Amino acid sequence: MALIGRASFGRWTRLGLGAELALLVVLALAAAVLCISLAEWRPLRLRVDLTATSSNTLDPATTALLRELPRPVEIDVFFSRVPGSLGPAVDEIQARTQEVLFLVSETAGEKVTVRTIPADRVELREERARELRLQRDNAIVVSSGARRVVLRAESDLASIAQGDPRQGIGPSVVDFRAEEALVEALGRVASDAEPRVLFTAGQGEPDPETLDIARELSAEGFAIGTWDFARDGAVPDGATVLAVLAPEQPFPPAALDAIRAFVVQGGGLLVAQGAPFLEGPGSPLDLLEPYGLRLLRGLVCVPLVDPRTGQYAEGYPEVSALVLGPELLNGTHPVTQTLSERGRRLRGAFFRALERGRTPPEGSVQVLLAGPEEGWRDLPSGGPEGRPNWMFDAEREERGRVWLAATSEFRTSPQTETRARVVALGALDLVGNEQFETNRDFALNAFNWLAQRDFRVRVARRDPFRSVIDLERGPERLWAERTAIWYLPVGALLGGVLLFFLRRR
Amino acid sequence: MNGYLAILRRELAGLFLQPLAWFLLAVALLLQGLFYSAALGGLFAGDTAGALTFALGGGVGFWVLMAVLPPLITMRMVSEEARSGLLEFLLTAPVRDSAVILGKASAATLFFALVWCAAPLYAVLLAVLGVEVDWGQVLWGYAGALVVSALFCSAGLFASALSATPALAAFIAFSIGVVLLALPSLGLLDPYLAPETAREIFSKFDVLARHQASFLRGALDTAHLVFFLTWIALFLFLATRLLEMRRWR
Repeated sequence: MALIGRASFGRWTRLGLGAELALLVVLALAAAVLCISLAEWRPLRLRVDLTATSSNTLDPATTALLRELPRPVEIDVFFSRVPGSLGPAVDEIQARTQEVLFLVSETAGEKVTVRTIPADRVELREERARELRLQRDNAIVVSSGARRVVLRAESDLASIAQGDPRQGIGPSVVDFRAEEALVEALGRVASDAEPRVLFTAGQGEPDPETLDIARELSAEGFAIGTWDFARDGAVPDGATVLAVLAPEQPFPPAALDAIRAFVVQGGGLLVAQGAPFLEGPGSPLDLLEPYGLRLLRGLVCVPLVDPRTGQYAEGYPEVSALVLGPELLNGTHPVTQTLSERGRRLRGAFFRALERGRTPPEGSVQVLLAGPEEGWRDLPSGGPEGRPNWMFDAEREERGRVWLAATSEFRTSPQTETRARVVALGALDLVGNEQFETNRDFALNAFNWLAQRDFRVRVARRDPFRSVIDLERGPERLWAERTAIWYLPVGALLGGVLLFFLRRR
Repeated sequence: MNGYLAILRRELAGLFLQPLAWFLLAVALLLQGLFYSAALGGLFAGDTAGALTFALGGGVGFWVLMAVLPPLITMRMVSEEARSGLLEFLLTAPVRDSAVILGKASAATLFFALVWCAAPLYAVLLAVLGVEVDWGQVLWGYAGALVVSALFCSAGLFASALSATPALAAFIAFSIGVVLLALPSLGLLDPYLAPETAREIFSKFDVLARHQASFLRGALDTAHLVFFLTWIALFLFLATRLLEMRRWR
């Protein structure tokens, strides 16, 4: 007890007092830590939002999902500053996302761990990005075990309006939806269900082990396998989705029957047309016919704009490479709705067109993706076996919008509520490796829809409370500064001076 | 509580009848005003909610004041009285030791209630000028500033009861404050640097995170409120025991 000063009693007494104090401090610390831990125990904890805009409250649907998460989830935040005019808008998205992440981790407790990896910790960032197979910066990765979902700041978490530089209007955040995107991602990675996707084999299809989509589906919690009728017979029980990607040969009739039996039992079927256009029994055309979807001969093309002349140019295979803007996506279908809202584009080449056939009873056929208005279906010249000439022929062809991807959904029998889902894609590029980075979300959405995995919630738009004063005009700033810097401190000082003189008297 | 009000009255009189307290108050208000004005006109570009939050703990200025002022206010409360012999009278008076400590801590906290009331006053001024104010967030932010002040004053009082001179008390109190505030910057709470057990333990001392996680956001979180009340109670309890020990000398 040297700090308190010299004591007037003996050494042993002082030692005893010191020991008592030390013991007291330790016990008090332990009691404090226990008390704090108890208060943080969820059943005893209460959080009340006192703000005007309820900015500290997550949507009830989000809260319910977080409380019932079946497994722990990690969220890694890879944010960094973006230079240039986009900077302030991206900063806003990042700050608001951090707010949502904070609320998510507060609500979920130990089930969700949020880690923000600072931009200056380059080595750590690179190592973690490698572990999570993250290729771009400014994203958050929601992961649970081997499953992961990547959410990009500038497209998945919000949309940015580019503004008008000529009028001095910079880019701004127009649609912030981090909460919805997080809920969807959490649902995907934490779901207990493990839907099984089987890729057909034996007809010249690509090996799923070489496909990016198979790897991504696996990361999202799907079990991946192959199905070869010659090897396996009927589609195995437990399969959720059957993917027929670009077969080069028709299916034997028995295989076709097996696929149809699988669909009738409520299975999901995805058919992507490949380069050769097969017709006749066992072809994709034949496979899709009963579901109200019909593949059409010819390749969908759009005229190219020659950068030198600004004129349309035709006659090259490049006219079959399409860039499809958000206006061409179905804004109401679950597969494409978010992509359309987020202004996403899709890319691909050598598209076949689709059209509506005979819709199955109690079913509906919907377009997912349409071709551009100025496009045409380039028919092979010189008969069915001929080659496309990549030019618009007004006599044989017509311009206009065609379907490039469509879905069919129908009740499998009048006695059951089971509904089967089919997705038909006009080109392999929509799920293949060639344009996977661009079309990734479309492909994942298609498989999730086929597996009937729908974790999306609608969160009411909540903008943060902002009350901005005009700094150039109006009296607010002047009064605020005068009061803060002059009136209050000078008032306190005058009080002190007055007191000083009063006390002297 | 027996004698609590008498002690509180005596301490308040002791504080506010000294020009030093008014001088410190003026300096604190000036610094706060400068931080607020700079935030309003610069960092937040006219966003009043952001600037008010900044003044109530969102900015570094608040925490600098919080680390420096409480030691200066509390350093004399026990150690100086012990040196001058006034404490002998207090300890022989029919007042419980806990009432003495609680009265002194309350007086110091009330001084800070005056310091931080500048921010709600800025909000009142803005409301008078027709600017919309999120009162829930402002008032809860103010409550947060008071609770943090009470914690730092309790730590200061503990240091004052522990030490023989006011200067040493101020140094100890300042050190406690700096350690509490510097925890996140020491990497002890960093999930990539500190092991999980260390983080778990050190997170129980993380004042900044708790203050910013609820009070500054306008959210009443009982866990965070209990955190502050617990540490306040701990320091006051220890200060009371130390005072009791002085009685035995």
